[in-house]
Amino acid sequence: MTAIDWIVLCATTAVIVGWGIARYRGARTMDGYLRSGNSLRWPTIGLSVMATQASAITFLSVPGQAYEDGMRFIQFYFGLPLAMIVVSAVFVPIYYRLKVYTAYEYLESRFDLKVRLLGAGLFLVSRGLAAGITIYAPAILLSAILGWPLHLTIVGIGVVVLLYTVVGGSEAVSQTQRQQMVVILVGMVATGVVAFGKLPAGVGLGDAVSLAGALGRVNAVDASFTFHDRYNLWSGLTGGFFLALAYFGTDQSQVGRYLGGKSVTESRLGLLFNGVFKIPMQAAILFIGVLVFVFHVFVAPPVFWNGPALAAARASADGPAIAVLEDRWAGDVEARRLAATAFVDAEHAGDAAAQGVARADLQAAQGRMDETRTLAKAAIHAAVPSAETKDADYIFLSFALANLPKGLLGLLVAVILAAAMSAVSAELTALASTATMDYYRRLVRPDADKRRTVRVSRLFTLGWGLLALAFASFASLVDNLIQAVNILGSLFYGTVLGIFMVAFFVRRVGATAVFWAALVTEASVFACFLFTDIGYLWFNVIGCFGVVGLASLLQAAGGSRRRLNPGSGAAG
Amino acid sequence: MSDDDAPLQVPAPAPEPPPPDGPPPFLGRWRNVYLALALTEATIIGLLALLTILASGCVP
Repeated sequence: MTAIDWIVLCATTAVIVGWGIARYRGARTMDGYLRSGNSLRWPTIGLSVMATQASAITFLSVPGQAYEDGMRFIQFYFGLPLAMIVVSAVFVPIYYRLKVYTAYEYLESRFDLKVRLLGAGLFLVSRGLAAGITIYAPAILLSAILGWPLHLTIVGIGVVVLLYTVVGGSEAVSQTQRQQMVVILVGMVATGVVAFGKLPAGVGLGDAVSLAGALGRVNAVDASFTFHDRYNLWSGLTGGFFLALAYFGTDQSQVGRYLGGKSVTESRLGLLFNGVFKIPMQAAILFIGVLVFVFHVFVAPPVFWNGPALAAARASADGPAIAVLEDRWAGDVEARRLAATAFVDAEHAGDAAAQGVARADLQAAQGRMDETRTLAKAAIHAAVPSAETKDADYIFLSFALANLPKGLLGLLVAVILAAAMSAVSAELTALASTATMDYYRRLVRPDADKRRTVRVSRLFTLGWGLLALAFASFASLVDNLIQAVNILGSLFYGTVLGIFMVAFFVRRVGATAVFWAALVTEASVFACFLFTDIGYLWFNVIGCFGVVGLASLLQAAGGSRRRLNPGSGAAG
Repeated sequence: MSDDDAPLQVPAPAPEPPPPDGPPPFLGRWRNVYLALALTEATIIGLLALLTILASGCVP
């Protein structure tokens, strides 16, 4: 990074963080600290909700995923707008009516204390682990590619986030997220424009789409159905719907964002804003990955994107074997480039026959490249066993480092840090709210006054932050970072959503039935994860229907003898 | 009894409109907003599907 990049990065980060601290350092009331004082308007809620979900992983991992696998990941979001409608119509008015601080408070009013603690506990476990990955993901990539020390990067991100989150609480988080989201959008648009501008002369947007389509990268909608395929239209609409419903309806890191709204209407509009813009935003980010792919059709990409691991493999005893594979790779890349040039020329000439031939050549060359890359990954793994062979997360940052102009690289790193901070801060404040309201104030000190509650909440924020930092320091690079977070969420979300679905819609089921149903279902979801190859999005469906079905059965079995805590039925 | 002695006529409250057929409106006045969002999403998915088909080269 140049001096200009550093100036842009430091200025952007300092302004947002400094503003967050200066503006909200006086947040001392419990309502202000935990629920933003019910002061937020819908644009802030909408941007805050989007920023909470769009962590740094989104901007690092998603373009790389499009490069490797095409745009099919977009289908993951197809259920989200429908989930926004259900959350707006059902969840929001209930939370507002009960004036809750956390989603899990509702479970006690509907069932009993043990169900509330179970729901809050599942959230704390899943989100506590995810917060570590949220910090670790950008840190490992920034350290590997920019040469920053890993542990220093992790600590740096964590400390900056903790500064304004501990000081300002929920309102500081929501308001800084608005600024962070603006930086993110500006940075990604600028990066997309540069990626497009880097295409060779004579290759327009239409050519880029045709080329990417011929090589299977514009596969945004796949209507074929299989349980084992992670992303298709049906898993997106159903599994994605349940995942989004659980995430936005029952995950405190999101519930906390819209509970700070000025009214039900403001919260609903904020959520619907997210419903409208989420898919286009993700499609745009994936399309940037497609443009990077097309760019590298004409400019030779490395055989392996994790530069330090490749360098270590070259320097090892297996170096000669790696060199042979790199030579073979160079030949494959050149063959693909020639076929791509012929493809574009044929398209410009309107010669369908020549284009068909070029398409076949292009696909054959891509097939050989895929084969060589697989061999190279195996060779690198053999040469450096500690090297992770999944390198998709390195693609986008490597492209940015090599191609973005001065200043813009700094802005992109600021985008990554802003995204990391916005997601982590929302997670920490949600973890602290849940620990404070659902455990401390419910079990330990029910008589704690508001001042003491705020103080304890600050301590919890700090504690969760340090725990996340510790977890991030000991984490290792997993398959694909964004998938890791989503898989982790899917292991728990279905069960939690099932509890809430029973609460809202199955009035006759009581606390004991839903409690045991949730425990059995959670064990079943883990069994599916460990012993089957079912796509993870389906875990949300299995978990939700498992709890609803099993709780209904248990209630029916036990109901003939006694009615099991029918609850207040707040939602009817 | 003159008209003056007649008890003050308090207008009866307007009768409540008869309940409409079918279940009560679940989504209320937000129904059209939700419908617009659902239609927007369907349009976006449709456009993405069209892009997929055109880019795959299946349609000349």
